[in-house]
Amino acid sequence: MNSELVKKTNVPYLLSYIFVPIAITALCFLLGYMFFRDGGMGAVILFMVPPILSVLWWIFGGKMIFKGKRRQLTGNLESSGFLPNHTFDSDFCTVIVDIEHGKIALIFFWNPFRNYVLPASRISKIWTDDGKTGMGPLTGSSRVSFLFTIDGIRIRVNTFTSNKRWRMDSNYILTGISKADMMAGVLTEAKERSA
Amino acid sequence: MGLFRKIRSIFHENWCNLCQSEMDVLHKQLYALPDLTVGHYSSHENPEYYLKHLVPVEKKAQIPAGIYACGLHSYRCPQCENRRVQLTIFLPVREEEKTEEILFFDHGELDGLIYQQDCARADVKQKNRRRQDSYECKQGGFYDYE
Repeated sequence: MNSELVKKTNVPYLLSYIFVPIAITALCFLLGYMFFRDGGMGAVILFMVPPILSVLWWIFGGKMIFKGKRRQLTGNLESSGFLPNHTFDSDFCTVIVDIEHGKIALIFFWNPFRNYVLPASRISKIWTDDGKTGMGPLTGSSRVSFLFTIDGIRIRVNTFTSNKRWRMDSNYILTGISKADMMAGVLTEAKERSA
Repeated sequence: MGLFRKIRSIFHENWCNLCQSEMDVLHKQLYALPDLTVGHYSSHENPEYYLKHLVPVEKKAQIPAGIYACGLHSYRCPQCENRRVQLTIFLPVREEEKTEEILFFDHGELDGLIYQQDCARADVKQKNRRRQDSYECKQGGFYDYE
């Protein structure tokens, strides 16, 4: 079980995820400019392919790595005796809770090569954020999440996100709140068992 | 007049579907439906399913977050003696209720549930069950405001 501090973002991975495709594209542009100034198939490949691959990488690359690592973590947990009673997959984090043994496992989108299996007793605070803003008829939300702190580090796990604001009684918001309340309850139960 | 009352009866769940009279409530009970959890709702029209999975509770606060609830109303028409059972399946979310479905059973399919006191005693929390949930992302167009 990890005893080190939870790190939500691996900065070298984040920077390389963004800048390595840019550097490769720039290098290809330079090579294309130097060796294929008159055009031709080489120029087409060097000027067209790297930008397209870069965009595809930015859109799908991170998700593929995260999904792969998440699957690997689930497999490893099963073989190590961890009982995944409840798994919650969010956009930037996956939380797996073993209520029986009072443990949680975490993996983050921006730190996919490191996973954390911790006693739930290290959670100091658990709460739900319904994202409610506005007053009167303008009350609404575009994000619902549950949050918890481990060693003072706040971890937010979204249960619903949108680029629009929704009324607080809309089905999307109610479903998001229900999921968040459910996960907060599961984490609380695991924490009580771990203590 | 009769036609007008028939149309009105569509909007009154406690009106008899045969003679359009207002029915008496014989029995009502709140149940938890631990088999159905948030994000995993599926419609069931078979009464056997409800006989097997409904767990009686006294109040909504006893139902853990994320688990569906079911309100049962048993009606009897004082005019034509017609009996009808209404099941309202909803997700309790704090003070709100997200209603999924309202089902009616007219042939006594759920009598076992109403008259048999020791019906399903399943674990409401379903502790040994493995659950997998995920977040939901709703993206809309720029002019698609709600």
